[in-house]
Amino acid sequence: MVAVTACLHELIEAQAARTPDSPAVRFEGRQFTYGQLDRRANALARRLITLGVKPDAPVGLYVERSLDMVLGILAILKAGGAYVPIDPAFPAERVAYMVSDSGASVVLVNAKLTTPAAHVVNLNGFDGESEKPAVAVKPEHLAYVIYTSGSTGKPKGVCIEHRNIVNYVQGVIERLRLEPGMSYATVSTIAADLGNTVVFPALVTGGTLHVISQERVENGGLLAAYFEREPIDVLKIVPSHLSALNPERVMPRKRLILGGEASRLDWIESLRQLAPRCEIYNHYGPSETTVGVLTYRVGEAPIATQTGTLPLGKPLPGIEVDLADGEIQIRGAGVARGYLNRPELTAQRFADGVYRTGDRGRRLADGSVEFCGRIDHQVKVNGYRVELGEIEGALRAHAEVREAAVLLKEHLVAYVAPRTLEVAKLREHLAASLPRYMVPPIFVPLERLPLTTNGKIDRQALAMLGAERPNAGPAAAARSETEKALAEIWAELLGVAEVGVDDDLFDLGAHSLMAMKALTQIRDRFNANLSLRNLFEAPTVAGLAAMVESLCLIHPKNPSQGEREEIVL
Amino acid sequence: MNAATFLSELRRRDIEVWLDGGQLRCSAKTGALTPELREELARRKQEIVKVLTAAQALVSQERAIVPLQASGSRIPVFAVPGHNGDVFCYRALAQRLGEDQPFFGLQPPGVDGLEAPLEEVDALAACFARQVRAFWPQGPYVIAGFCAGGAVAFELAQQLAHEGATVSALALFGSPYPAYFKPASQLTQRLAQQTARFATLTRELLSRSPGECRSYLNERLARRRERLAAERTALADPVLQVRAKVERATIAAVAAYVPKEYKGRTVLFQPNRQWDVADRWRSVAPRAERYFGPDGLAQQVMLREPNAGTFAELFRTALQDWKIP
Repeated sequence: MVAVTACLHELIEAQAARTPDSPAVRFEGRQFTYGQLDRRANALARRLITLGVKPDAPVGLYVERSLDMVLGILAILKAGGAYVPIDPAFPAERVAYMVSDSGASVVLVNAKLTTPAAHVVNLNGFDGESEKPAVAVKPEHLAYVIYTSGSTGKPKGVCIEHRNIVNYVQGVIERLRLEPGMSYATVSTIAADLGNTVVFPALVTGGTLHVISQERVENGGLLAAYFEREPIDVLKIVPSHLSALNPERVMPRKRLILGGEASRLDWIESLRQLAPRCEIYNHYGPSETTVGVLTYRVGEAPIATQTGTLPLGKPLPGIEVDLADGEIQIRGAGVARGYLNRPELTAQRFADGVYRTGDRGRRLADGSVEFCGRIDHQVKVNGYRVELGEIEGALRAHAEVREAAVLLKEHLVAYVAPRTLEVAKLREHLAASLPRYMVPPIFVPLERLPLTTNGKIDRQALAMLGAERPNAGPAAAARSETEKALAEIWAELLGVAEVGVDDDLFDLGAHSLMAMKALTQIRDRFNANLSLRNLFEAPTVAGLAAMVESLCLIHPKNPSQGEREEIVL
Repeated sequence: MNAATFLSELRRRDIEVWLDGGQLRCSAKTGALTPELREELARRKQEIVKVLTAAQALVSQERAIVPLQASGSRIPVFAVPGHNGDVFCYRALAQRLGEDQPFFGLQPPGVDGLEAPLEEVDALAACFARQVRAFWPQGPYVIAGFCAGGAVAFELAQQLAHEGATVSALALFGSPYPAYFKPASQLTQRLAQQTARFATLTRELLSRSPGECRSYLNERLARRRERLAAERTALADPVLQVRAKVERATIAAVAAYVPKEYKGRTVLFQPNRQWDVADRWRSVAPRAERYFGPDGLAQQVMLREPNAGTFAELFRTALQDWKIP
């Protein structure tokens, strides 16, 4: 391991001295050159120092994705502080928690902050340039504190030192073969470290970092429009996020770096065909070991893994990876100082300088590591130990499945995309490779799976999703033409493969617009004018069908021509 | 075969059976009513009357009342939604209030796309008052309103009280005083937004060379075009079109509404302490009490998760011990 002697901002300062007039950061038509960025950050850093920022002091960075994001990071580092990135899209409660838990007395903002803080510096009004302030920052000082939310408990701040992130940046530049002056795009939330794979390598190699606006990140059309105007060489993105966009229109020219979750092999193959000249990398690592520790480059030769997902690859320089009891454990230059103000948790998770990831892995013939699911995704079903990742892997191996997540609720529930998937086929497919108890009784095809702000599949949102049919076993079949037609209307609107006639439509996810659409369709189809009240009174296909049939009995009469007789009963 | 199926079968054979006052009548092509059929009709008469009566009741029921949570022993809440008439805005709150709190949304005419929306607050309130009393004649009631629906709820409480019904409380959730919705006031807000936008534009242009200005303006124009295209797609949805119509009618109705003094118990639930556009309610509801959400909470999301729990708690605090006597 080569000892790190520089701090992160010093590498950027050195670059600014080499190429002061090159564009450093661009955001929606605005930009800073390296010289502007550096001098502005100096001025801002001086301001921060007057507010008491010093080495190791956490400083909140509550900014929309913009030029300010990069300016803020650099200024905080120059002042010696550790930036604590906070996404303004977070709920107020979470923002308040992060500010108070980190103990940040200064918060940089460019959006309305509703949490009290001792000092709030608004970047919207900030202007000025200056010389570098004199601060003695050492590689052992904190560079940033990133909050990660585990499956349990409150989010915790991971403390990353300059030497951690500098080792990472240097390692990743070498491993991903990043060349001077490339253009990079960052589409990840500021509050996660995913984006650091491109943000810092861009700025220490004289590249141009394109900060993509929130609006574009969420809208495939707008993002594609940007990529068509601005040639982008390097993109780091979470697989689910990329597949929810138009991959054919947002492929970078030279390097695609996937990270944050597993990628399906055949999807990778289709990406490779979209952009044969773009090198595709998989990148793995928890925030606790600084952004990422393993990289895998997709080669020409086809690969096969047991899980059908892309291997994680080999460690970056300075990092060692062990597979003790099947768990991926990491030691070396990336391992963080620990969790902020959590000595016990730190001692538990970082014992002996080793970070235990909670991920299961296995070694491939070439020495690469393959991801085999989360240890805590191991559940018991009827007494059998079941690895949810294994079911997900088997689902993803089906050619038509774009995304899959399996959760254990009352039963195993498989959430799959796209919505057009045929459940019967998927069942058959799983039954061919998995034991019966591992085939979920319930499948919920969705147009796309919900994503977290990091762009990963949002398992919590899936857990909340009412799309699980409350009655186990197959959906109760329609008994009449009316029920059949209503079940079809609802299945289409809910985006599920089938609706049982006794399933609670609200449990399946019916919401306001959907309800109005259903009532309109029922009216057009049956000439039966149901109200929203009726839907709440009988929120099942069977209940609605009974009402529709009842209403049809008293339609205004439209008798046939010809002679009729009328009797009183 | 049950009576409903029997009747469907008859209809398929062009034989109509209907209730006319107290009489059950039947019409068919001459000769279609065979002696067997006549006999079966006579035998099933009671059953048929029951089925048709139920169907009649379904048609004539109060369509405005949406039971978000029908059961419970507490005084029922009847709640007017915001300007778009969507009672789902109360769904999370009704769930958070639990199974002992009956909670009914009031859906204004027009939301179903069948009728034209009403254009006056008095008329909307009268329509709701009629349906509330027919649906739950005995009272007492808690009347609630959200956002622009607050003004309608205010008038509804007044009309019900005027008719002699007991209104235990009027609860306004994030409801600005009606003047807020006047075009002049909305114009002021929009102007402020425009001014801010213009200031940004000026600042951006001043910081650029002429060449950069052109590309910056082009970029802005391109983004605007992209955004407008997305909006146009959304506008083509017929359900959203209906909703837009209701929105315009409600806003106009509320803007023109001048509240008169209300002496009943009024509780204002406000998203946060800084939110002051409801303050003027106290000029017409002198007894109004106020409860606040956490600092910084936005009005639009105050009744949604994760905030619904906060307001359910405040609602319970404000209205505790109020069970039906």
